[in-house]
Amino acid sequence: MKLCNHIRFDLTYGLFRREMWGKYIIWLGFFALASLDFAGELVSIEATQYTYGDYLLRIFGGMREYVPAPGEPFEIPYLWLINHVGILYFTLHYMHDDLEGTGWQMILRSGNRTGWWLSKCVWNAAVVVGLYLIAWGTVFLLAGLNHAVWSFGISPFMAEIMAPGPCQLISASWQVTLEITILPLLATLAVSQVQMLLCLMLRPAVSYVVSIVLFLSSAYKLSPFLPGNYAMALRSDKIISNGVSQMTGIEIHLFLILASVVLGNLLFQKYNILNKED
Amino acid sequence: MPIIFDRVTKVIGKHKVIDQVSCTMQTGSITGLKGINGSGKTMMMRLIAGLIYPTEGQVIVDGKSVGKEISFPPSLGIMLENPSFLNPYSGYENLKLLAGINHKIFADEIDGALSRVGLLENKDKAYKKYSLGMKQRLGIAAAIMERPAILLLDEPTNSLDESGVELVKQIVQEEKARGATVVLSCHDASVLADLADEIIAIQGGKIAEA
Repeated sequence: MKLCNHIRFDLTYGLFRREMWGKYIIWLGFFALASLDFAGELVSIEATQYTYGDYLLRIFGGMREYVPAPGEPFEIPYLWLINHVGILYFTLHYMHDDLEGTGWQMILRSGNRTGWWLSKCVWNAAVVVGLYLIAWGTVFLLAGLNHAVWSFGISPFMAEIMAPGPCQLISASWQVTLEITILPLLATLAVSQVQMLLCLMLRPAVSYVVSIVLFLSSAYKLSPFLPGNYAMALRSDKIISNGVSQMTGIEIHLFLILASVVLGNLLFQKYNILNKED
Repeated sequence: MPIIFDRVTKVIGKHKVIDQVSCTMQTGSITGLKGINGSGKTMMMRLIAGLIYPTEGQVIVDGKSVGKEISFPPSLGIMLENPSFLNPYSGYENLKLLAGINHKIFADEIDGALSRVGLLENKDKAYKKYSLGMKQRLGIAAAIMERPAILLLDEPTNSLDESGVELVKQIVQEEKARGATVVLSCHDASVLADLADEIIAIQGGKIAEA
C-alpha cells in the first residue's frame, strides 16, 4: 500500500510538475526539427515514396560500423546520441532532488527504503517511455503530413544512403523494425537505470559522464559488450555479418534493468540520506 | 521512548562526523544539543531518525537498534534545518501528501497542526510563496502533526521572529507534556536553557560536556 503511495506520487507530481512540461516541449521540438530536416533531405534527393520506417531509421538508426582508417574521421551520430543522452539528462536529477526535498520525509513515514527506490525506478521507466512516445508521436505526425507510406519497411534508396556498399538492409528491410523502435527504447531504459544506480555511488554529473561515454564508445566500437550497439539498426546482424543480435540485445538490456533495480535497492538500504550542505 | 547512543561513530567519506558518542535521552524529556555549525548536531538527529546508520556502535530507540533491528523509529517527527517541501503545492497539500503515507491523521489534525504553528490562514498559499519563517513553521507542523513519540527539531527557531520563537517554545513544552521525547538543537543558548532538561554540548563530533 505504501509502495502504491510512492508510485502514485511519482507518476503524478514526478511526471507532470512544471519542470517536466518544459522538457517534454523541448523534446517535441527536437524531434520536430529532426523530422523536418529529414523531409528537407527527401526533397533534395527527389524521393517520391518513403515510409515511416525511413524516418525512424534516419533518426534512431545510429551509424554503420566505424573502421578507423586514414582520411576516415569518426563522425558522431548526433541525432542518435542526442536521443539517448537527452533522456538520460532529463532523468538525472529527480532522484536526488526528491530525496533532499520531501523524499526523506516520505521514506521515514513509510518505514522502509525499498518502496521509495522501486517507485523511483518506476518513475524512471515512465519518463523514458513517455519521452519515446513523444518522439515517435512527433515523427509519425510529421511523416504523415509529408505523405509517408504507413509502413515500417525501409525504402531501397534509404538503404543505399544509410548503409552503402555490401549490406543486406534492402533484403532485411522489414526485419529491423525492432531495431528502430523497441531496442533504442530498451537501451535508453537500461542505461538510465544503470545511471540511477551509479548516482547512489557517484555524483550525478559523474554518472552522466559515464552514460555519455558508454553511448559514445558504443558508436565508436562495434562490440556486443557495449549496449548502445543494440540500439543501432545499422549494426544489426541482419544487416552486417559481424553485427549484434537482436535477441541478445533484448536479453542484455532486460538483465541490466533488473540488475540495476536489485543492486540499487541493496545499496539504498545503507545509503546515507544527507543534504548537499551536509 | 528512550534514545541511547552506545559508542556511536559515524564516518562519512574520510571524515569522522560523530566520534564515540555515548549518551541517553530519557522518555518524556527535552534534550538540547548545543554546538557550532558542523559540530555533529544534525548528524546525531539523522542517526536517531535512521537516515544514516552508525559506522560503529549503535543507536537504540525503545530498546531496538536502528539500522539493525528496525530501519526507522516507529513514531518519529523530525524537522531538519531548512525544511524543504514541494514548491507548487500549498502548505496544506504538502502536509496532506505526507499524512497520506500512513493515514493516521486526516484534514482536522492537519489543520490543527497548521493552527498550532500559526499558518492556518495561509494554508492554501503555494509553498513557494511562503516566507522563510513560514517555511520553518510548516516544517514544525509536519514534524508534530502525527503526534510522534519522538520529536527531533533541528534549529527550529531559525528565521523566526520573537513571537515565532515563543511559539516554538510553547509547542516544545506542549509536546513534552504530551509525553514525547524531544531532541532540540539550537544556536540560541537561552532557548536551550529555557526548555531543555539536559543539554549535551557537541564539539568536533564528540561530547564536550553532559
